[in-house]
Amino acid sequence: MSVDRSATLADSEAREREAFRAVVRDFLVETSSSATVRAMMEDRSSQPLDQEMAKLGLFGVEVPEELGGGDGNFRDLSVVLESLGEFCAVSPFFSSAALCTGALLSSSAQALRDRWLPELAAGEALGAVALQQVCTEAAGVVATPEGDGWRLHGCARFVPDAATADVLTIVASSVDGESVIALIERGMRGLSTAPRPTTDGTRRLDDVRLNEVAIPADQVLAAGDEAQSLVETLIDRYAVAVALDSVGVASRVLDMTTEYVKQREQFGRAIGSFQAVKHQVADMFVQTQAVQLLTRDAVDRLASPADDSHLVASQAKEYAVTAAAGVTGTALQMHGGIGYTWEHDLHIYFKRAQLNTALGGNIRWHRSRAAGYLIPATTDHAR
Amino acid sequence: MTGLTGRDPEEFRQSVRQWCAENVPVDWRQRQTGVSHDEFVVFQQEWLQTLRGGGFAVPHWPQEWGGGFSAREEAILFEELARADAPRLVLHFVSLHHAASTLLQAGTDEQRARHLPAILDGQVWCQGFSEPNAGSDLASLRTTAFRDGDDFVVNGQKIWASLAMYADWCLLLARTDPEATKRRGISYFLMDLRSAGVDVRPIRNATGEAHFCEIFLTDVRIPADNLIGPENDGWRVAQSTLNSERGGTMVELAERLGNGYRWLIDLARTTLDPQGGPYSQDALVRDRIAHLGSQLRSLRLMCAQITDDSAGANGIDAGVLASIIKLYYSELLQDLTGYGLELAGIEAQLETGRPLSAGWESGHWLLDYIGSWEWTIPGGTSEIQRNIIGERGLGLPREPVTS
Repeated sequence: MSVDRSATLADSEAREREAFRAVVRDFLVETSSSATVRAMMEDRSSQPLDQEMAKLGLFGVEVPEELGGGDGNFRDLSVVLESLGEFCAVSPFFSSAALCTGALLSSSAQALRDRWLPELAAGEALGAVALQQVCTEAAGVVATPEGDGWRLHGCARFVPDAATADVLTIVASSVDGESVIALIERGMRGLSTAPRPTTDGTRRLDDVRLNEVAIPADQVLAAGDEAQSLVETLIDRYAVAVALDSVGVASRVLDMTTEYVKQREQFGRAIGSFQAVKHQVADMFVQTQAVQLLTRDAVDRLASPADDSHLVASQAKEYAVTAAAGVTGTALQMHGGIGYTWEHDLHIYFKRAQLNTALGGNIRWHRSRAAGYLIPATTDHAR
Repeated sequence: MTGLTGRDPEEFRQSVRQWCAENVPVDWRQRQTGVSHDEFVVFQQEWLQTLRGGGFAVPHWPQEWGGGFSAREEAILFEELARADAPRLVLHFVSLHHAASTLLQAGTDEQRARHLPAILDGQVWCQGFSEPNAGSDLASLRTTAFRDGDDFVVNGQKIWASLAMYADWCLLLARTDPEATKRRGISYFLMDLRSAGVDVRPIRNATGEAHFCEIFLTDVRIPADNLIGPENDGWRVAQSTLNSERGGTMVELAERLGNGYRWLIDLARTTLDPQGGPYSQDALVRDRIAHLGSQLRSLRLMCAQITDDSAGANGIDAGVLASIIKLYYSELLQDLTGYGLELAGIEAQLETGRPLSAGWESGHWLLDYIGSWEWTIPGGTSEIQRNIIGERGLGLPREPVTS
């Protein structure tokens, strides 16, 4: 464990962050109740919540003050991401604030930062990032050099919140294997989206089709080595953002289950008094603790650049989504029949936990990425 | 935990690292493999005095008794000892932790003065808690102690006392009021194992080694001065001292499991799969190793919570946290050694001997795996830990207690 020389400062920041967490939770209690979430899932719009979050300045938490943001860091942003998971909130916050804003904040493209960050921070514009393909090693969008810029062609699949985004971050690669990251405004010629409704209704995925879209040089966020490194940074952010969501899901489902097994009686006693039930809920608690600590550690490594941030981000992602999927499954078993009904909220958490296992690179992909850092390469003569 | 001593943490780490480089015997694993019990005891006593010479034997004790490390310094010390793959103080574990914390929390000044310096000099303690019919249900213990003049006279049988065959003293729980409800009539004693009527018999366990003992007690006289805490209040005293001051120990165990994890990776890199390539290039193996790595990191973060000088961010009760860590550690140890066994194949089935004075992972995967049940059963079984986590951590209804 690293040694923190400024423990006192860190403590006071931690206290402020917990106060912020309480504010965000209170806000979501008001704006993201079960009934609201269900209504949003039905009409597939999150606009009223987006506007309320914008008023609170949440979209700009991580953006510098001079660009209209809250001057915070990824730790502050993580509080919102984890809380959104607790409520299964329907929100483009993840795509816009964590990913698209994060892409701009991590890049050196000054003009693009100045152009977009103020609007993104204010919640006046929404962003999205097409990254799912990168984590599946599948061919996606091909970039061909054209003049000072590029021409993009292909399809970026399963992009969260693409249809409602004002600006899309697209990761493409050239036939030579060079990476290109471009910002594409809504309405550009050749750009279209097609919805891919998921069984989980709380997130909206779209396929993004690019038909020979011309990208002038001033819309290129990064190219070459810088793009490659930015892609890794974005994968980390995507991974940890999803992990945080899963931690929120697991925490909330643990609370729901604890309450339920305390009040539900069979054979004349609360079912939580039976070891067959108690021990499973205890395991849910242990798993939730384990992944909450791991994910918050990953948050720290993304907030203050660390050597092993890629490793820890992938570890947090693979373990948090695995644990949350397990916790929601056990919760369903502990609730019995009532938890299997549409009326009960458990299925919403269950499906969100399942979607999170695949979103931003599946469990196998992130374990493979982590293994690359954990296991030293074997020399050829060992074969 | 005591406060900061004002040492710079990084300088302290470097000084411990330097000390380890100069003092950890490089060949101790070979020297402690296949040796007699006497050689084990001599080695352990020497290692205690070596650590004491460095000022590292009792970091968790108060400063006036030779400790006074901050929680962070204690964590650093144990991280570095594990990093240097130093021998463990196996023989003195109960002395340095359970006996000391009991004396410090519940002992009289006279009892402390008599035993704490002696423990530093190498006095060995064991724990006389469990009985053949009092395991998880410890409070149903039947060993009796009746007052006779200035003494208590003890009769009964204890079991699972670690290394009692080498111990000088025993932390003993015995029933002093048979009429009281079962948790109320128990007293806590410091018992001299050289007393007449004490018969210690080692139990050979599943690994082939003898670690635990039975202790038969027949009319053993314990001076009333050796009662610790109030008469008939022994259950409460034992509960309050059981899990205390073990933060540094858990840091050490987690770090040593980190060593075991590195050996697992080495194993995967040097063991060939049926196609002739090393297991470390097999996607399934890499998947499993990566997941074990995530769990190991979570364990370390849990341990950091107990040794964090600032209060735990998650606000979990210290006793519940200790149960979570014990459960999580022991099951991870079992998974990791079990996976090592799986990868090592038939080679790991050959008869072998583990080094003494070592941690719970030695690279002798089958014996390590069998030995991992020494973590899921003693010290409160995994089932008892889940009860504690459910009841005290989550507020679930308690198990019905018969009195």
